[in-house]
Amino acid sequence: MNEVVVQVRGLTRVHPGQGGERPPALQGVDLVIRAGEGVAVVGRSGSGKTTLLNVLGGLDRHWTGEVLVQGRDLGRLGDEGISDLRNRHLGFVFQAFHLLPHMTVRENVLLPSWFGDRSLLRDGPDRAEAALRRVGLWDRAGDLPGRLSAGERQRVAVARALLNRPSLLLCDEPTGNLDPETGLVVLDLLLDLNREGTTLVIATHEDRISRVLGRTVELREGRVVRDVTRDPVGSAGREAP
Amino acid sequence: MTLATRMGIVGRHLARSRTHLAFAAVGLVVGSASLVFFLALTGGIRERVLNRLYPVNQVELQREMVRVFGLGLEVPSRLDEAVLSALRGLPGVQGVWPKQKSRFQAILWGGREVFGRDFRVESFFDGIDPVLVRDEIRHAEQEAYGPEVLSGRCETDQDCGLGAACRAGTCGRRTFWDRFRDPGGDLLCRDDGGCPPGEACIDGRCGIPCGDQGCGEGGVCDRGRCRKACGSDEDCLPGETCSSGAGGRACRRLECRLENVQQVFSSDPEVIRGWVVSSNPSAGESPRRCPLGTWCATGSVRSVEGTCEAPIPVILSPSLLEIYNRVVASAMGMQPVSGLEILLGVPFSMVFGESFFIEDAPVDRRVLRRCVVVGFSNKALDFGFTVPLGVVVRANAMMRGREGAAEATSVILETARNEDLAAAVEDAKVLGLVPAPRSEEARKASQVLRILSWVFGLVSGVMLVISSIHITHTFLMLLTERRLEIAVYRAVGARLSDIRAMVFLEAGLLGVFGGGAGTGLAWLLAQGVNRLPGMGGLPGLAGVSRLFDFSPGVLLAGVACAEVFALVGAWLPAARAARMDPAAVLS
Repeated sequence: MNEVVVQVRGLTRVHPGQGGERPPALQGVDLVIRAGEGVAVVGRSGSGKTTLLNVLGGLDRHWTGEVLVQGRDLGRLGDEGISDLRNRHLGFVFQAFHLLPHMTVRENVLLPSWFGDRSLLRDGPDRAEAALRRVGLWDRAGDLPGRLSAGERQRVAVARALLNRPSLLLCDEPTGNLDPETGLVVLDLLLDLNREGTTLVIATHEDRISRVLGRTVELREGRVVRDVTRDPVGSAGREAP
Repeated sequence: MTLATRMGIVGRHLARSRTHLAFAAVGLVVGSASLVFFLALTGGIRERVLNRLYPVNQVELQREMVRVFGLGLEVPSRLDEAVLSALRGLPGVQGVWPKQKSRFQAILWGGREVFGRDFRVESFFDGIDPVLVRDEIRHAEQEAYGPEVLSGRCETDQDCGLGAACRAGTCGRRTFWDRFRDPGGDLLCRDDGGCPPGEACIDGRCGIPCGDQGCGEGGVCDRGRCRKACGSDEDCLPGETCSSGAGGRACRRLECRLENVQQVFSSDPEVIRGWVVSSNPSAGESPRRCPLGTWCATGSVRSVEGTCEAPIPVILSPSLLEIYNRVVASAMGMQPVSGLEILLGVPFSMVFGESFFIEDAPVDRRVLRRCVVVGFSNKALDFGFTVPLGVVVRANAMMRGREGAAEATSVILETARNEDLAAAVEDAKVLGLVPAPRSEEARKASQVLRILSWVFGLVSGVMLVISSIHITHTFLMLLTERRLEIAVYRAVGARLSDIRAMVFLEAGLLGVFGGGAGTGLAWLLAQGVNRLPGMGGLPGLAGVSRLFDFSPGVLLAGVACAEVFALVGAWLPAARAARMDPAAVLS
């Protein structure tokens, strides 16, 4: 049995201004994710997918319940602890890429190393090269993101998320802004990482993604209504049976 | 996160937002420039002007005057040793420096070397402790002539060239300030009443009588009078020689005589040195003149016998030169004097007891003394000149007897701390002493200056506050532009403290830049003001050529204030940046 990477108990998140008519973004969510798992968090818009990822990534701290990531209780960690967790163990890939337009591709990928300890800062350039080679964009390292296509930008974002060799990769609609063909390339990349042992959590509303991951957690009005584990299909390019 | 990394990120921010930040820094530049300009100006006026006229921890006190129908009459009190002792005992007082004016008429003549012909005028002078003005006249001399130590090793004065002297193996400029000291001199007397207080008439000359405990350390009791113990002539004053006598080797003034009474008024530097009277005529010594740098000071203008003495060192008030240039030179069609330094080393003579107006002393009691100008000080008498206190005390005793030398005319009171001065002045009123008019005027000027500095400081402060608000506004705007950037930083591991530090660092660099530029601007403005017509040399102030005092403290204050206001301006943006919810921005 693989070690537990994420353990959530009774997670509730109420957004400010939410009255009694709208349900909380998350309510009473229980979830356990083990190392190496590939989890698709699915649901309709507003079901709480992104909120769940933000909570797991420590970006959202206004919740109740218990959330442990890498054995660390996020409710008890201060800003320093959570920032350190993000810097050392977590990777984010966003739907809108969120590359910094004034920095080159290489600098965008290096970004986590600037906020890390001295070893990460020292190893950053080598890791950035490896990550960019991994996503096939080393030859574009000196370009600004504005010169890249959408798919290339998302691959750079993946490379940035890989710099700290995360044990948990949180992806929020990673293919949402990409055409189907390009989306497949990015998805393949993520699946490869998952196969290599990186725990992958993808919030998505695309069925094809949920089909190729080993586990699907469906949220509806902030609650887990379905949590299905099955053998992954293996490649995003193949249709699930 | 290392400082270098932080600096790198902040450097990118600054480069990207340079236009916005340049505008934000304008307020800092103007505010700090204004602050530094006014601080340097008021500091300069205080340090270079007021403190010279009226040091903040010194006040000149004189006997209280009562005015009767517009006439100033002194309250009958004495500024004698008892009052001086009482002043020394006041809380916070660290120095009491009596001044004494000459209490007899005198005429001086001389100045041919500078003015082309001799002046012959009624003269007034007072005496002051040389210690009180030594630094001031040295500073003024250095500003006029430059450093005292010149380059080059030497063995004799000839190795150093014209106007320089060899001192301890190194060539040095000929100096004057160090000559402002009491040259000493034996006063002829008939009884104790003709000697200064503390001295007695011993064998026809005034001297300090030996006490029960002898003459103390460094003193030798020689036939009832104390003399300075010595090992060689080097230990003695000019005109003295180190010789053996009763009690041991001691400094004794050389006695001399002129060949005839006409030589008393001679201007021949060789003739006036007279001939030293041998203490042992039978020894067959060859006749010699008074040592170089001294002259034979006779007991009266009708006497040929006297003692070898150095000329009396004299300091002048810079105001005197102004009076000459503005009044005398134009009225008499003479060349104005371009600078004070030209008067240094100029000799002149004085006859005590002579006057154009009254019969002050019979001819056989008149005394000729030779003097030399050695410096300039604002503490010197405005209309007259100032000599070492001991010279005036001896001269007053000689011309007016002991009573004439017993009382100071005024006293300079010095406190250890500036803030103690006001209380000391109040305490001195009990003793019948009040600030001299000049001190009172300077005190009022100082108050006005203080008020002006506050006003200027307030104006600069308002500018800096406005610039601080401007910085807040600019940074808030920039942070709105950088919301995504900050959120990404947070997502990849930046701490709140990193975000805050980056904002403060950016503001801090802006502050340093703004403060530095403002300080530079103030300096440039000051240079411009210094070059305005009439600012080259300030009236009444020897050696003052610049009105502004850009001390390290002022420069630092300019940059520090800009820095503080920049950081204050960044406070709200930094807090808001740290409060920003990255999840809301990134989702």
